[in-house]
Amino acid sequence: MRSLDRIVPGSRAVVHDIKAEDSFSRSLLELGLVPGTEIEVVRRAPLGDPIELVVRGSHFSIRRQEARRILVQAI
Amino acid sequence: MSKPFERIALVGSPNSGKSSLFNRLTGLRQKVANYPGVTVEKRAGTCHLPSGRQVEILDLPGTYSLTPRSPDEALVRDVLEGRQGAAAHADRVVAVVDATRLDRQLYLALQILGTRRPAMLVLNLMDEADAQGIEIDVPALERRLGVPVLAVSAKTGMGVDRLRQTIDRANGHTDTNGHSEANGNGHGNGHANGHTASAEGNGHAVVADAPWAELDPARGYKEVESIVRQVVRRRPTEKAVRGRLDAILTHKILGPVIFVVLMATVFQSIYAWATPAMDLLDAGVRALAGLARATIPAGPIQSLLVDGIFAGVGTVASFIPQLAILFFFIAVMEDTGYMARAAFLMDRVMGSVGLPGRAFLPLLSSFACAIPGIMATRTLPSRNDRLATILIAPLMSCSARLPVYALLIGAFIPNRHLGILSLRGLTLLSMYFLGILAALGVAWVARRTVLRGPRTAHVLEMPPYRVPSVRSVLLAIRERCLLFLGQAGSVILAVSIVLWFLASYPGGHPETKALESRAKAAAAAGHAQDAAKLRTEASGSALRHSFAGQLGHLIEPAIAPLGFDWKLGVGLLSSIAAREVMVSTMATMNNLDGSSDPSESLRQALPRAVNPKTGLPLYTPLVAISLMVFFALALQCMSTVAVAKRETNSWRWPIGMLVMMNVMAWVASLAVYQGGRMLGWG
Repeated sequence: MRSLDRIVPGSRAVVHDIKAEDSFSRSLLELGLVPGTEIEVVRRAPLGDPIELVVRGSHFSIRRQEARRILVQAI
Repeated sequence: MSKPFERIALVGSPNSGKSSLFNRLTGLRQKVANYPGVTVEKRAGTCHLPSGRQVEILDLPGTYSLTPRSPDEALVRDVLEGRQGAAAHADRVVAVVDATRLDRQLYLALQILGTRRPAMLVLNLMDEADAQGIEIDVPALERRLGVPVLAVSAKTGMGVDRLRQTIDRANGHTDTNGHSEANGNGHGNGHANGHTASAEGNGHAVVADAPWAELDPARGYKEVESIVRQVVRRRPTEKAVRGRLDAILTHKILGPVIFVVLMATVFQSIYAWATPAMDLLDAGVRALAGLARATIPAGPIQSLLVDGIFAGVGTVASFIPQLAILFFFIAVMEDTGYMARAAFLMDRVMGSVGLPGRAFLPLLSSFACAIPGIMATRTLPSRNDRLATILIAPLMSCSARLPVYALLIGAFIPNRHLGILSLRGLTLLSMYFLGILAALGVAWVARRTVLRGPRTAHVLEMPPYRVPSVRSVLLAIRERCLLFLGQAGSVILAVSIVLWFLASYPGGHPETKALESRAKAAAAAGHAQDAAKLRTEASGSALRHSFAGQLGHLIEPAIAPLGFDWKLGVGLLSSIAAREVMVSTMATMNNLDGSSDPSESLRQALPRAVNPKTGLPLYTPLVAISLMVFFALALQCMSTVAVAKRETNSWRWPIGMLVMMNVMAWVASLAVYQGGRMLGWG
C-alpha cells in the first residue's frame, strides 16, 4: 500500500482508500476514484508536478499534494 | 416576469460537447447575462421545434457532479432543484454525455435523472464513438434508465432533428406545464429535507430509494459499470492519436518549447497583428467625426459629438480586434484540448504565487491590454483563482503605457550604455519588472487575506484532442465581443462624455478669447503659420482654464509630493480615457499641436519647461521616473474598471482595485521622488 504520488509513471494501481473525509475526497470519489477502481499514472509534468492519471477512460491532472491522500495498491 | 416559453436546461460534464449542442439548437438566437447575485454566466437561447413551437434552452455550466464545489456547480444544482427562482427555473432537463466515455460521464447522468425532473439523455459525440468502434444499444439504455435516449453528434448535426422532435413530442402530449409548475412550487422544501417530489411523467426511478443527488459514489459507479456492461460493445480499434500528441505536447523539453512558441504567437498577434484592424476602425471613426464636423455647425453639439461621443466610440471600437483575436486563440485552444495541456505544464510555475496554470494566458494577454486579459479569466474554473487573476492583470504593463514610457524615457533618460545594455532599454525593462513584482506581491497578499479560503483542488480533466468546429469558434468570438460592447462599452462611452465635458467647460475665458480673435486676425491677414500657432495656444488656454484644468489645480497638493505639477495632474485625469491620451493632453497643455505626432516636440519641450515661481526646471529625470512608476502601478484606465465590473458582476472588486492600485502607485512614487531628492538627484 502506498500513496498515489509514489506510483511510477507508466504503471497501474488499484484505489484502496482516500484519506480524510471532506468535500475534496467526495469530489475524488465522484470523479470515479472509488475503492477498487483501476487507474494508470501516465506521466508527470516537466517540473514533476502535477501528474496525469487515467480513471475509467478519462484523463485527469492532479497535484502531487492531493495525490498523496489517495492510497493505492500497485499492480 | 412572465415565462414565455418552456425552458429546457442542458446539463453535462465539461468536454461533453454540451456547448456545441447548445449552439446547434439555438444558432445565433442566444444571449449571455449573469445570474442574479453570482459571478456565473447565464447562457440562454431559443430553439424552434418542428411543430413551430419555441422553447428556451439554458446552457448550464459544465459540472462533474451535483455535489457543488464551485459557484458554477452550485448553480447547476440550484437550477435543477428550482432554488434559483423563476429567473432560471428549468421545466425539463437534457443530460448530455460524451458517448465515448460513458464509463465516467454516466455517473452525472444518473444523478441528474435522480432529481426526478422530466428528463432525457443525449449521447453526444456519436460520430467519434463510431470511429472508435464503440457500439451503444440505445433501446436497451432507454429501457434501463426509463427516459428517452438520443444518439447525437452536435458536430455533424446527426440526430439533432430527432432531438428536436423528441423535445417537441414530450412537450405536446404530456401536461408537463402543470406538472412542472407544481414541482417548482414544492421544490425548495422537498429537497432541503432530502425528499424527492413524486416521480411521474418521464422520470422512472432507476434505484428507488435515495435521491441521486446524494448518491453514494461507490454505488453509483457500480450501477454505471453494470449499465455499461449491458449496453456498450467495443470493437477493437488501433490506439487513438492522443498518446502520440501528448508525448510531444507534454514532453519534458518539447512541451515547454511548444508552449512558449504558441504563447509568443498569441502575444504577438494581440500586440502587433491587431494594429492594422485597430487603425482601420480608428480611421472609420475619424471619418465619421470629420463628417460630423463638416455637417454640424461648430458649437457645443458638434464638440460633444466629435470630442465626446466619437472619441468614446473610438476607444470602445479599438478593443474589438484584440478581443476577437485573443478569443479566437482561446476558443481554438479550449476546443482542441490544448488549454488543459498548457495548464498541466504551467501549474507548478504559477502555483508558486498561488495561481493555477491556466492563469498564465490571461496574464500574458494583459501585457498587450488588460481588457482581453480580464475577459480571458473565464477559463479559470475557481472563483478565487479568477478574482486573484483579475486583481493583478492591470499590473502587467499594457501597450497603452508604452507611449508614456517612450515619451518620458526619450525626454529625460540619457542615451548612454552600461556595457552592452542601453540605459533607456534598461529603464523600460525595469518598468515591466516593477509591474510583475507588484503583481506577485498583490497575489501573495490577496491569497492570504481577501481570497483566502480553502485552496482549490487541482483535479482537471485532460480531454481528448478534437478538431475545433469553425461554428463554435466564431460564436465564442461573437459572444465575447457583444458582451464587451454591451456592458463595458456603455460605461466607457459615459466616462468619455464626462471627460469631454470637464475638458470643454465652462469655456469663454478672456485669455482664450483673446488668443482666438488674434488667430482669426492672423488668418485674415494671410499669416497661416501664425494663425495655426495661435489656434494651438488657444486650445491650450481653453484646456488650462477648463474644469479639468481647475481639477488639476485642485489635486496638485496631493500629487506635489510625487514631483507632479498641476499640468501633469490634468494629464493624469485625461489618462482615465486611456493611458496614452496623457501624451496628447500634455502636448495641448504645453501649447503644442496635439493632433500630429505630439511626442517628438514634447520630448524637447518637457525638459525645457520652467517652474514660474522658482525658475528651476519643472520636470527633472527624477520626476520622469516617479511618473513612470506611477503609471506602472496605478489603475487609471476606465475600460479596465468597466470590464472588471462586468466580469465580477459587482462594483466591489473594481473599486477595491482602484483604491489598492492607486494608493500603491502614490506611495511608490512618493518613495521614489522623496528618496531621490534626499539623495540629491532632484
